[in-house]
Amino acid sequence: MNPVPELKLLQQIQTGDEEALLTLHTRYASLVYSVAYRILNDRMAAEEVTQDTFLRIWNKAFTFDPDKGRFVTWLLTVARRLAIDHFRHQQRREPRTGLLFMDEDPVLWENTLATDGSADLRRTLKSALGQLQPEQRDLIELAYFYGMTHSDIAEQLDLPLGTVKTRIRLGMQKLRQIWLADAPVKPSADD
Amino acid sequence: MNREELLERIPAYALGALDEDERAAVEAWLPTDPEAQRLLKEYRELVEWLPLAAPAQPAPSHLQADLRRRLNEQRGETAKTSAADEPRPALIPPTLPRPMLRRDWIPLMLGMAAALVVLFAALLLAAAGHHRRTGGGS
Repeated sequence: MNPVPELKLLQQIQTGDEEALLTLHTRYASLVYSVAYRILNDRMAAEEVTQDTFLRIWNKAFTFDPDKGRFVTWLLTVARRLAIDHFRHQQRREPRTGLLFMDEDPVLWENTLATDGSADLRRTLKSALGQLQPEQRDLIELAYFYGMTHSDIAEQLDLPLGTVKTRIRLGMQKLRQIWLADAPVKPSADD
Repeated sequence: MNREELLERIPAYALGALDEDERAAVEAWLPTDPEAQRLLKEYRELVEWLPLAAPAQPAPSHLQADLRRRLNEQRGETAKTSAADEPRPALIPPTLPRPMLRRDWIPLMLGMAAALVVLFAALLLAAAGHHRRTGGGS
């Protein structure tokens, strides 16, 4: 039996259907938890952010616009923002790098994204990031997963500001080139 | 900042890495430059998939039961809030604390006292007029 599409589940959530939310939770909790754990490196905090993410979906399902992107990227963006807020409030942990794709459970993303039609995209992303110089990849990782600006990163790593800007720019430009050349056709939001 | 420099900042802008001053400059210029908007769209489509690079970690199995509990709690709080928001029946005087009762009576009593003073003054004036008309009783 085909899984119920996310858009349908979001419509049901807007009518107060808790089972629809729990279906999304069953499908995506591990992805959300993975993003939260990547940022927070703390199981309890990652659990809290995971639950907060789904409660946010419960209360704000109407804000999802399928014309602007896919549900999974919207969900993970919500999770990332909540985790970054949590991280900033902690103020006792050091941001970490070099962790991309260090999967504890290699088939987890694959299986989840297969239902979403996005599994190939993760493989392409992994290949593209693998082609960057480590110092470019690390800075992109800090900026994205910790919400750090050029100045934040320069201060954190004790690097000249110009070096940080250049590494991020060149890294992103290369990433875009590889992505545009290699990315499979991205499934549309209403598939 | 010239156009070339602004275009160079698009990747970092899409990533959210620009500092405030540069971010403001890019945002002020973007609406005027369709090529920059197209470039930004491409970078944003890339950036929105970056969470997939997070190492996979299976979520603990108890999370679903916890979410059910939190939904129940939220439903209970919503019910309480709704009940609190419903119009309440008018409070009857015996449920009011006594000081409130006394304070409520003060304006009424002052009004009655003022009316009595006015009435008494009118009676005195009427009596005086009558006394003059009748020749002062002689």
